Amino acid sequence: MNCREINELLPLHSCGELDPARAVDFAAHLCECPKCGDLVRRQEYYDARLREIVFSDDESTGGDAAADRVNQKVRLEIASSRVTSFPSISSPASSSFTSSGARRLAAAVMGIAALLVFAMLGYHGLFSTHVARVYADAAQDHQLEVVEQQPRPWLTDPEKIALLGTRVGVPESAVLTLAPPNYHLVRGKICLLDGYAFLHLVFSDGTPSDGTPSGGAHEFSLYLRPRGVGQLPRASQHVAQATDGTTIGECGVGSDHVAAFETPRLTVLLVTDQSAEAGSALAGAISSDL
Amino acid sequence: MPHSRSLLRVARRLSSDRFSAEDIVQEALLRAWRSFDQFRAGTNARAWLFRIMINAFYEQGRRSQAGSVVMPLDEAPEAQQRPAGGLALPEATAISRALDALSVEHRAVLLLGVVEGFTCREMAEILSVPIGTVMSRLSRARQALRDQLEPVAAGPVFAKEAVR
Repeated sequence: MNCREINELLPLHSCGELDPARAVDFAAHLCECPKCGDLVRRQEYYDARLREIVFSDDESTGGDAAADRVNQKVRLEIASSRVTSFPSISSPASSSFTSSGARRLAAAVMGIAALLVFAMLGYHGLFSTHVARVYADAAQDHQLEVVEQQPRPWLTDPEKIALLGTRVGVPESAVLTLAPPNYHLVRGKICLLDGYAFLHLVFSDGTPSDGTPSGGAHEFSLYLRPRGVGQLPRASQHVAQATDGTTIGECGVGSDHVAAFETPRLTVLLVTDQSAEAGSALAGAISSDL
Repeated sequence: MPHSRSLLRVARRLSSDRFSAEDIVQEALLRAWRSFDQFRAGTNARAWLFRIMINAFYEQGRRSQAGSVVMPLDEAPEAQQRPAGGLALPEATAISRALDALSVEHRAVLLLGVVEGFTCREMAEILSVPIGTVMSRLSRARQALRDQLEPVAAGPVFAKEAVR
């Protein structure tokens, strides 16, 4: 084996894929050739450092939390999709499962698949009723942005929030006139639900001065977009009537309650982790304001 | 989802910011879920997930180039936090910068092969290229990394002895 061959086979050597005969020749050349020996040592050094740096960077930048965040989004997405049956695994031998051993293998594979599906969906995903994507997105956004308080650039000045709303077609007056009983607007930003831009407002019944909820304060999310930009899906589990006659659809997504209604100008979604009755009462009050 | 963390680790090094990386991995896991019937029992599930993630990454790149990605109005792309360069850079920073300076193809093989421990054969499947291409990319990527680091290594931080 010569130096050129060493260079060519180095990737296979480092991945442990050299066949035994060539591995012996490879090692023999390294013993005889200081230049190739040095090259391999330098490569092994940099490989080890690269691994160390990438893993250490992953630890220090919250890799675990990011993975949890992604997993949660995936579970919510799957829970909101129309899952009618477990996906099956295709196997090269699936068409000829005739022996009992093969059937047992198939059963084991399907069992593993079902367990994997269960793990991916989670308890709530499997046993919750289907909800439309926009409601699932709203509940997910509320969980991440309000309950878990992910760091995001929120606006806190009501006038600036109202101005921001105009960027997605929500009139300034709609934001400024909102006054649900005992709650005040604490922050707002733009978000995407089911591919549509919504103005996301967060209301709190906590101390208004510092913009953050005091201990025990409740927060709920309100998502607004102009009516007519896509139809509001009818996937609600309950329908209520507000005092002003507005029809309010309601559904549960995980631990959240989503209430949805339309005014002549706006499509409105409200998400709260309080009771369904509290969510319904808030939606009724807001529909009167709008 | 046991592989989401390693998928994220690679996606973060391939894409421009952590939000994009999370979107890519989320998309990849959902695609894996939807196309679970295409997974062949007995094959490498981890390599299959990485292949889906790499495809999602390239597709996102194409959409970005076409200017059709819908960006949330309130979220600017995460600023790149790259320390200033120089001979006295700490070793970790120097290696990290050298990795980021490589082409996407070279970064991908280093991350998959060196960091995640895939074999050349598995990388060929993940990247949908012949194994010979993987081997030459891996050689060139390592060479490019050394070319960037060894002038630095000659300085006070990387003593020659450090690589012996």
